[in-house]
Amino acid sequence: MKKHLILLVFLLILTLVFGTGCSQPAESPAEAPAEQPSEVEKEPVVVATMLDSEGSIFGKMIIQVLNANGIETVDKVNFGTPDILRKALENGEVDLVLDYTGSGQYYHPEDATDTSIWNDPQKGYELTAKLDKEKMNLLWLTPASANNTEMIAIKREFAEANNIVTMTDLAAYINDGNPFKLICSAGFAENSMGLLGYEEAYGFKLKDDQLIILSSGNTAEMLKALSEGTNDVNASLVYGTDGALDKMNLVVVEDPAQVPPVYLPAPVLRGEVAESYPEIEGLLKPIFESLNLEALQKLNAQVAYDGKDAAAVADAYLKENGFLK
Amino acid sequence: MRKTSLKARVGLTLAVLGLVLFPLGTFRPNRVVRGIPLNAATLLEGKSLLAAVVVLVIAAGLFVFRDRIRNSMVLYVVPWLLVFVPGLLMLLLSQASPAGESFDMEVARISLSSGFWLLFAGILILQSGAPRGGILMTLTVLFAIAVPGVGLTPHLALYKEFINIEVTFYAELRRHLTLSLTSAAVALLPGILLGYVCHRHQRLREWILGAVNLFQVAPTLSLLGLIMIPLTYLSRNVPLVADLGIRGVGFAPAFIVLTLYCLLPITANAFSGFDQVEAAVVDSAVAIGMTKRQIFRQVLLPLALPVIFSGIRTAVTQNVGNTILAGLIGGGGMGALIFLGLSQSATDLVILGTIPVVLMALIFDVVFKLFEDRMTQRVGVAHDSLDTGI
Amino acid sequence: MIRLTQVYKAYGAQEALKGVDLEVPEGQCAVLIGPSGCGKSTLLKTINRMVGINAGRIEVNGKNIADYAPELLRRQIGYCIQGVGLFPHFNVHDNIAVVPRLLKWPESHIEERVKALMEMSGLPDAYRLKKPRELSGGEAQRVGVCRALAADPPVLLMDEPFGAVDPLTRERLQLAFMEIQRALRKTVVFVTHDVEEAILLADRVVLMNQGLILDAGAPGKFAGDIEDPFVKSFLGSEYPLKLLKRFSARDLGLEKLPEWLEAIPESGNIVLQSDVSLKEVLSEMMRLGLHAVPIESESGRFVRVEYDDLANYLSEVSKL
Repeated sequence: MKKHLILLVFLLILTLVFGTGCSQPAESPAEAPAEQPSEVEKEPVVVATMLDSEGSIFGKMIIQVLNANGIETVDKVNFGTPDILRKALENGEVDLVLDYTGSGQYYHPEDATDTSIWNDPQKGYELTAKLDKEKMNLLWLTPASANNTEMIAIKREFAEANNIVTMTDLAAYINDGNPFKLICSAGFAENSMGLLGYEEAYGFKLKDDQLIILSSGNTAEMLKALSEGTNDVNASLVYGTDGALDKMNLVVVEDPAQVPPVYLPAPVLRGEVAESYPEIEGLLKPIFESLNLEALQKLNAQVAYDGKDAAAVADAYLKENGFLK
Repeated sequence: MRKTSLKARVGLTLAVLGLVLFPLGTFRPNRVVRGIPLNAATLLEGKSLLAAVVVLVIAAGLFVFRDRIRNSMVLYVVPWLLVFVPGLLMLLLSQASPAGESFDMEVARISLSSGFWLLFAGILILQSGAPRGGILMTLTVLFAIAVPGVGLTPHLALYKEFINIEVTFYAELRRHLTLSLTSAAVALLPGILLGYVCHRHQRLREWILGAVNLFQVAPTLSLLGLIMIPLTYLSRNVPLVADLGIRGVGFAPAFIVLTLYCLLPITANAFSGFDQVEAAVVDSAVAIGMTKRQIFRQVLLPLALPVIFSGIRTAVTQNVGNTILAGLIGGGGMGALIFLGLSQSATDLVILGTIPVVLMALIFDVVFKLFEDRMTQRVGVAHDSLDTGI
Repeated sequence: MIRLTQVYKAYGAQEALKGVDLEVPEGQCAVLIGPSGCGKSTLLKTINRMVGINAGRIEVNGKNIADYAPELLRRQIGYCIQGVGLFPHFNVHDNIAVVPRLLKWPESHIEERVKALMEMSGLPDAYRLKKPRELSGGEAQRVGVCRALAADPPVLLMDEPFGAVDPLTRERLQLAFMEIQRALRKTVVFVTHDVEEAILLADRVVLMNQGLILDAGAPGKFAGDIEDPFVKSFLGSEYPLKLLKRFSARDLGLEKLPEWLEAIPESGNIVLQSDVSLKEVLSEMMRLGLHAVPIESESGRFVRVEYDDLANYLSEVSKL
């Protein structure tokens, strides 16, 4: 009797799961287009982004805008890690991704010999767009004007107390022998366009006991440590558009020398899909142009810290700014 | 007089520790920051629900030590009452808010803390020692899922995370189940056949077992990475492959790697299952005039089935866990939630992804064990030929 | 009938059978006997091709067994082993029914056959749905014999089938087998290392050692003078005594013997019946301290049986 009961419960659970799931097909549903009926022969556009809150926001925004203008989409937001995403794009498994202009240095390393161009927002973008178009038939559309690059964040009180506004100030603070501990990723610490670049540009050198190095680039943990002062950390790696900057009373130390490469978020579209849907470029351009650093920080904060649903946040932004009715 | 069982005492200890020593919940002003711990003392002020919980825990103590007091039949009700405790506690926690500043309750949330989990675990362990323990435990878990499930705990962090992604959650759950179960199912036939080959051919045995062991030992993530290369090549150059929806990322590589992972438990168990069939039985089967195929289908396979089933059980429960990695490569599943939560440092999203995986693994384990036991019964132990008697 | 001609089998360098000739006429039971490693089991297994031969020829009912597919051959030959090897997941009925099902007999026919066999081997009908693990050793072996006989094969091969049970059960099984053989008269090749079992069951005793047949003959033959010292020592010096067990008082021809004229000896014993073995008769003589004992014949006469009658009978038998 007991055996039958357990079996029954198991079957019940299975039914519940599959039953509720059954209203959705195995893939995420293509959301219904709002206005014109979609053309039957054209394939829906597969939109994919990275596994983080910024990826969620951009992904949902793009999908909502495309749908509202009669383009069917397949939702693969939060698809996977950045290299997986890029591979999928190159394979044609996904059609439209959100990428960052600075990534170009990794995609075509042979052609990017002059590394200084990556510090120039315009030049880096143009080179990447050109190489990707020629070699892989991938189109880089208009980027947002938010530099989501690696910077150093400190607490606002700390900045005010020690008069630190730019990296030059910070270098002076460190060289005076004041207590300083930076938490960052291994990638940043060993990068000549990261910490090493900062050290060289501003003339300071961190000792081993002034560094806490984490293996992943997940800044949420680092910023948590900074805001709670764990292990005497008083500075952290941060990405320019990180929501924490808004929420946790942190400021970014300004970098006049532009050490790290510029990472502007931009949509990347497969050439074939651009031919089927030439309007995509025009639809996304104004939205991306409207997104500056503060706007993105706010949106990220709402999703990552307030825990709001990314789709709802995207929808609200689009409506407030008139991109969606 | 039945002695108080060890389980009951351990369960009670854990429950009391959880209730008294550790915070039951954490009030977070937003999703990421470390929040304000809420323990039983802070919650107690004027809350009758909590009083009820405390009373029940005391009653549990009475139940556990019932024979030292008077062995009252009434106390047998207590494990049944304990069924409601975790759910009620979740209800209570959802309503908590620390005195002092006002918070934006849209954003603020309450996470379940170590005290709560200890209490939950303690109750389950205590129930496992009581009569009809299995049913009690299942009911407790179901009630704990039902309370937030019907929306009674809007401020609980887990609930908020769930509501945010409700549709995606079910889709990913289905994907997770599909991936784990189908890959195990696909590995079944090759696994049994390989086990049979190992059984019959001594020389091939080491090679085959070594090969499947290699898949087991290699880290899943590396295998995933390795598999993606040929798959990408195939999907780009062989139109049929791409048409079937097989790509270098996503479902296909995850499926292949998971299937390979299932090969070891199934092959090894099939092999040992065939081997443990008594030589006399196989001899008779040959002498009777059965063909090899008949021997396999009518004798070897049915007699090895309990052991093979144990292998399937291992394969499926292990798969349920491994499928989490599919989330990294676009395969979806609960892993997508877990890794998203990790990247955003949102612990509750990670827990939301992990709990179903644990529950699924447990359920499969129990169900398959039942089948296994039934099969063992039916097959029976071979006759001991040294028996005396008529 | 079975004929083996110059059968030779070697495992690598080790010779198991060194050219064996054997003929078993139809309806007879030949018992292969010999020390461990003499090749008797190997010889048995060459008949149903469980063991392949390197040279020689084996014929069953005039046909060379090499001409048949092994599986088809084996379905025509019953096989019983010491470990029985019943399928643990089949009940008694299904175990016995295995070969008939392989031969695609209709189910109703199979059911009749199973019932008949069980009755013949002394198994109650209630056992039909039991599983092997619920049976005792003796019961399981009876099922094994039924299974071997199920498809009514002309030939039966038995490899020390009663070796794994206690002596009492063994005796019962031997008697059961003798009953079955009396009824069915199959051509049987039986392997054992127990001389008494050979004496009881064999129409022909075949002695083997080191892959060769040393001697063969009716059990009685070996009661007389034996030349080969090995045979003599293997069979043992108590052979004539053991042989007495095979024959009963009836075999003496009680009608021809004189009547018992004295009073029945007072010792509280019942007079012996005509179906007792000669060994028991001798034992009774020794117990009573007499050279003759009374035996009740079937017609009710009390017959006088003397020691000399026994001795003469043995000597006659040994000349056959």
